[in-house]
Amino acid sequence: MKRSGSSIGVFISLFLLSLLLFFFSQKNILGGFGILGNGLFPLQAAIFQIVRIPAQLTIKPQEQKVFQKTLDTAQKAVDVANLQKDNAALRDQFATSETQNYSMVPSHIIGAPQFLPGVGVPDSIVIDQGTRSGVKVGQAVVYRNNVIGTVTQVRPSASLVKLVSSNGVSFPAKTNGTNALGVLKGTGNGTMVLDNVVLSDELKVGDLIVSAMGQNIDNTGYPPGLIIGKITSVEKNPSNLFQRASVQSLVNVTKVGDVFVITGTK
Amino acid sequence: MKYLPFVLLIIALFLESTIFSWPLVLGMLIVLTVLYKEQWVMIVACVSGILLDILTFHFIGSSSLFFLVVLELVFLYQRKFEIDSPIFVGISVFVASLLYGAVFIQRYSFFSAILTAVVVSIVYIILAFFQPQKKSILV
Repeated sequence: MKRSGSSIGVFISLFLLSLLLFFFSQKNILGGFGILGNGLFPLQAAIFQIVRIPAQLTIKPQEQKVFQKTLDTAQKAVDVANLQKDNAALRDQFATSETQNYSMVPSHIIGAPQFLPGVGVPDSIVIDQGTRSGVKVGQAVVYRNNVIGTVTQVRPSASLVKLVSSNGVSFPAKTNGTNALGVLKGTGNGTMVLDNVVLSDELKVGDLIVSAMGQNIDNTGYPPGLIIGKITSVEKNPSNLFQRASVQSLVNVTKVGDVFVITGTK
Repeated sequence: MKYLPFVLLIIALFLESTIFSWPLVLGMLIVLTVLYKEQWVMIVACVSGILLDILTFHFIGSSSLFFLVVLELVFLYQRKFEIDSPIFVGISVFVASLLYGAVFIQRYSFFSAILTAVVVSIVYIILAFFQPQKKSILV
């Protein structure tokens, strides 16, 4: 046996050191030591790009074209619906919906831990922009006007983004075609549910779901009109108080390299 | 070849923070403990835990605390029983991974624990083959 009594001292010393670091990090003293990541995140980004190479080789150009076209079509559907609402509002002389331009910070995905790459969808991703670029907790992350998630933790040069489909996520959303309002809840593995929709509202399979909550005054939260996904099935039972629909995101985050953080309005 | 376990530990660190949600670092630390049985493994565990927490956005120090407790339990077990076997490595990694998944609330923690135990056991067999005398690298 090679260990002696001093080994207990080593264990206790290291344990107390780790406990101290944990306490400092939890209370965000000294910035939670986030600055220690400055040298690690670029290396993590490089390694993430390397391990993604086999997955990227399997993406056929034709599939990529179809994916981009799907996003274009979805965006056009939302734009048409917004224009129709604008016209109706102008005709009624009540108000117009504003089209806002958002200031965005482009960022690369440098980490997306999942159970099995290519099989499941991660619950969170790491991006290479942080407080130095003006990123704050609660800000929305998008890809071509499609919601990806929100920033939950920030370091000086990286941020953790919780995906919109992960368990525990919940926020107001509505359908693009019928304006049915509900609560969008993440159920994990890339799937979501639009719940708490009154029975009198219409839910149609294939209809797009868009965000309904406006940004908070500190530029956090989901701006209205961002595409969340499309309805894949509807569950309506007249004996229940509400109806619900399963929602699938249009974006597979594992096939996307760059995302954008909405930091404010222009 | 004597630095291969440390290279694998660094690879495990970055794999766990980029594409896999398996507790590979924990598994490699248990392998290091079984192979070398020396105090400096604790220091490596502490540093690895801190780096892992930085990359995975956990509270810094949380993984270190877990790793240190697990390795101390392995050292205590080693006082009474022989631990130089792939079966011990597999079972200890499986149990530790299950607990790690429960503490850090990971999805599919049971299947991750099984896969980690299998992978780490194979790595241990390979490393033990190339280090049959298990001499300290400080000698």
